[in-house]
Amino acid sequence: MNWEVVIGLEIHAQMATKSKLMCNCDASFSSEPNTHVCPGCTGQPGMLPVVNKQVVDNAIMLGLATKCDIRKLNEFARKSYFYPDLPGGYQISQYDKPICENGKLEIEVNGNKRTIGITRIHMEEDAGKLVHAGSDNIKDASYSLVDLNRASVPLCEIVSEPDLRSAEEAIAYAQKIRQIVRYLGVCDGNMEEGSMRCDANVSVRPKGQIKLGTKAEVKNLNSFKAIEKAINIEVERQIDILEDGGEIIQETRHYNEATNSTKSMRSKEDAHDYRYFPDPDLVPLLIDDDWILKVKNLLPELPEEKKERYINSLSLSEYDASIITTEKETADFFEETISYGSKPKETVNWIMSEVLGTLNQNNLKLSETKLTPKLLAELLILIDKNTISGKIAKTILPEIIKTGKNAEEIIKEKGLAQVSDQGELKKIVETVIKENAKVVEDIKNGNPKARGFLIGQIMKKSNGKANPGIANELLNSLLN
Amino acid sequence: MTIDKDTVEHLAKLSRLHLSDNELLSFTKSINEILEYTKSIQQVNTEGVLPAIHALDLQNVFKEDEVINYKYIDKLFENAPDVENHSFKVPRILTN
Amino acid sequence: MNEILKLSATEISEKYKIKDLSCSEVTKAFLDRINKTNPELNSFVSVSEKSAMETAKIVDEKIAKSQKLNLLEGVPIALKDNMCTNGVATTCCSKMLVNFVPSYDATVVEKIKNNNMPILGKTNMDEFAMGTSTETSFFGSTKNPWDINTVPGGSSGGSAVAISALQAPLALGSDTGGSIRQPASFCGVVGMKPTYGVVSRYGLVAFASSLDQIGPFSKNIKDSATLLSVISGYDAKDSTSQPNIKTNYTELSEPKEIKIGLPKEFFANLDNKTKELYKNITTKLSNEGIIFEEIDMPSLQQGVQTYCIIAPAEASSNLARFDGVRYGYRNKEAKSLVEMMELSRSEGFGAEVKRKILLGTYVLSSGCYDIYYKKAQQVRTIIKNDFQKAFSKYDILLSPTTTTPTFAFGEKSNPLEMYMNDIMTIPANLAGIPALSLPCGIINNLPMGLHLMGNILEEQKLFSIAKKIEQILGFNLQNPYWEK
Repeated sequence: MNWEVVIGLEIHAQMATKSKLMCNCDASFSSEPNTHVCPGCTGQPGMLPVVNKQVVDNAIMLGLATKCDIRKLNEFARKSYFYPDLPGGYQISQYDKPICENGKLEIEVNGNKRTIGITRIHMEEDAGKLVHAGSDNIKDASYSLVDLNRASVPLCEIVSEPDLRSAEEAIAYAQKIRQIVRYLGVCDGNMEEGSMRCDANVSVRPKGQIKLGTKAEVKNLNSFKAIEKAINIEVERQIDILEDGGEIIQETRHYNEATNSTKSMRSKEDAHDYRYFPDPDLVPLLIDDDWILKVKNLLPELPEEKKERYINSLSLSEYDASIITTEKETADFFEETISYGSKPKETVNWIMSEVLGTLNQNNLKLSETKLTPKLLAELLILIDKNTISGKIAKTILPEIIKTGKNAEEIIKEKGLAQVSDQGELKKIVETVIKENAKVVEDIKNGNPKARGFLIGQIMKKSNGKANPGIANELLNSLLN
Repeated sequence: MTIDKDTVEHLAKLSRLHLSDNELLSFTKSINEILEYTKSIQQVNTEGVLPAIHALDLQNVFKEDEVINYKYIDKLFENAPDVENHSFKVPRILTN
Repeated sequence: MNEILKLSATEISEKYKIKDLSCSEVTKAFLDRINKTNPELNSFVSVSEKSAMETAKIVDEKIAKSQKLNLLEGVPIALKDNMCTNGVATTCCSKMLVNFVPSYDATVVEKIKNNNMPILGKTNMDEFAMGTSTETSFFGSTKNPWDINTVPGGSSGGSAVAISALQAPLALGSDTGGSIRQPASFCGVVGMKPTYGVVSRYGLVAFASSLDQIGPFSKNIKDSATLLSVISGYDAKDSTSQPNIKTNYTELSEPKEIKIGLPKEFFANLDNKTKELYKNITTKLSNEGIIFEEIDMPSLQQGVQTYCIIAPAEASSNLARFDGVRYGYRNKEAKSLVEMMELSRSEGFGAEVKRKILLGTYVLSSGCYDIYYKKAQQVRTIIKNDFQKAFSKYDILLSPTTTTPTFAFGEKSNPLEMYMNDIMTIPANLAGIPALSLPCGIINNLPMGLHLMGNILEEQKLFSIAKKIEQILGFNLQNPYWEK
């Protein structure tokens, strides 16, 4: 039997606003429980919600970036259920009037481009956190502790159409969403820390069948790797059941990374009647064309546009343009660097390998170092002018990153300038020839490798500073 | 009878109420009476009429994105039934 | 009987101005009265003697320095116990919140405090404001000073009695379906509900969010308008608060031509005594030049039905926060979370509250939402529109506040019957219009109220007409309890 996999992703992106959705508490992470709370987000009697305008702007931005229709008349609805991390006994969310609908996103997997539909994007409050005491899972804990720091932190829930057909596509889609929210600056997209959470709705059907199979919702996917593994194992589970003649139960399943398996959490059908109704403490949201235009003008250049622009006006290859635009921070750094005169292709290479390589080794972010676009540009220009070799430049870079000193200063301090002076180099080449008479013999006898050895010796004698091109020329002329 | 005992029991579960047998009977009776009484609204022609969430037509009420720290968090905890590690303590959450 | 107790709020303010009375004298007089009469009447659930006298001291210092006092500054006031008062227990007269002490003030409380009005204490009410007789209070019922075997009405029974029994010159209540106006009528005092959104709901423990409003209790219309001026105004903390509104209602004009509509539906099922009383009243007012006309408003017949769906629905959601987790009553023997929530709520809430929660949960549940909640909200729109049409022809509308005078304790125990006590007052909440009850006559030695309804944000006009009517009717507020 040929099975087709059908996946839809629900992504919750925590909005990086200063304050919460419905109160003025600090929305940033705090490791001390219940320090970013107030009577509002702890559901005290008599408290009332007021909408944070920035969250609406962020949702509109997200909608525009994913080519959604922005709804004109919006409502917030109460979603009712009882749980200790939900202080009001209801979550303020959006139900049948979500702010964005009918969007799309293009992904590429193994060279194949696909358009994935986005059903809707809506705004809602996050719930608090539970810490289960005496164990790391609910089942064996003897009690739980409620921390409401996260209660009412704003979320945008992005729901895709069930258009994804493989785990690879699901990851590509999730990565694209992550890239966009980071580009927009509305969310930092950190799955490990929970600022971006992903649930997958997975089903299978015989290839060619139009009707969708029964789906299961898979939760607890804390990384792209987990998304991939969970989807694959769930697909396997479902196919096994169906091939045995069984039926898939519509339910929520919890993914366990350690055992690489999914386990039933609860039945999606009978558990909850959320009793959605428009929140009577809030008034409708009317988004007119003026508002949308204002937000549109604030949109940064999106990754696809940037990539195209780099290919067309900077003559970068598709590959180079792609990798340098993966993160907005990197692309911005790149553009500023070449504005000081360095060459685009070289700049891309240097940023992607040397700069990011050094940073990753030391667990640093670009913004946490003393390296500036100007400093990098200066270094690259020095290489281009042959003042230093690329090799030497690579050794200088960590120092620049650490101290913020410019390349010229460091070169001077350490005497690293590339030696290109004919006279000085000639002396070195002559000395090397003299000291390696046997090798010179080998060369004359036609051994090409021996020549490389001499070049090596010249570099060594000059402490790596000899200009390779000129050293080669001199060696040739002095040997003959 | 619009709703039966079982439905009321289900409603009690949904709203985290525990009803005695007497209460179940009594509430089922009184709720049915009230629902019966409300049936007359079904006769009202509401075609094309928008539901009124509010008495008044306000829209677009917002606050700015600024942080104002609440200074009396400890006072909030003074009303808490059980506290540990500056968190609200609740009994074990059973799962299926 | 201390004559101070009979003074209106406006008269007290005048006495301060001419230094005839001190604030401490006045405040002490009322505190003594409460001390003496509360054991029997049970209208106050807590009294704040110390802080009230401290506030009085501040006002007396201002008077001594001949500083100008603000409107009603120094006039003592009582507050219904569903308005959060910082540092003072706010119980909603429920076992659920018996020990709850908020660390914040409701906006109206903040305004009262900023205006140096000594807060005498918190008054008794039906549990969580759900009721029409104050019989469901966890602290026992309140007695009506006109006849202590009868109910004061509800849910703001305590505040109504405070005025009626001369325990306070002013009081605040909350009105969701008539909870200020109906007890005002039963107790022979003035009670007013403003346009929805005119007074902030921040810090008012919510019953039904789209219907709740805080309003004044007083001896007369002038006091009512003045107190409303102090507590009303835009509040950024309440998203349903009306922006850009005028909040000074003290300049009451002498209205020239007054045209009043009489909704036929409100006069349909009255008994003869009641019919006669109101006929006499409209005749008396006609003789003074007021024009009356009958008007058909058929949608008013669906008022209670609509309310019976909307109010419980919103209440079921607003009361979900009382789960024993962060504050309030908790059953500490429960072995699991769900058990803890179920037992805490079941033991903490009374029967009427539970009934409303169950009913509200039902009308919002899937399969029921469209035929109950959505339908009710549509009928609500029709009621709103009918009022708008009426106000295009009439200055105000008039009806009795209640169909009968008050009743004996335990006499009306049927839940549906209790809703019917509000049959005249409910439509005003549904439409969001301002309305008040003015004592206007006696039946069986018990007071009856005149219910006046105005158009949205037309408080000024409503008060002006009400003042003229008050003047013409000349009702004597005195009841047997004034002798005690």
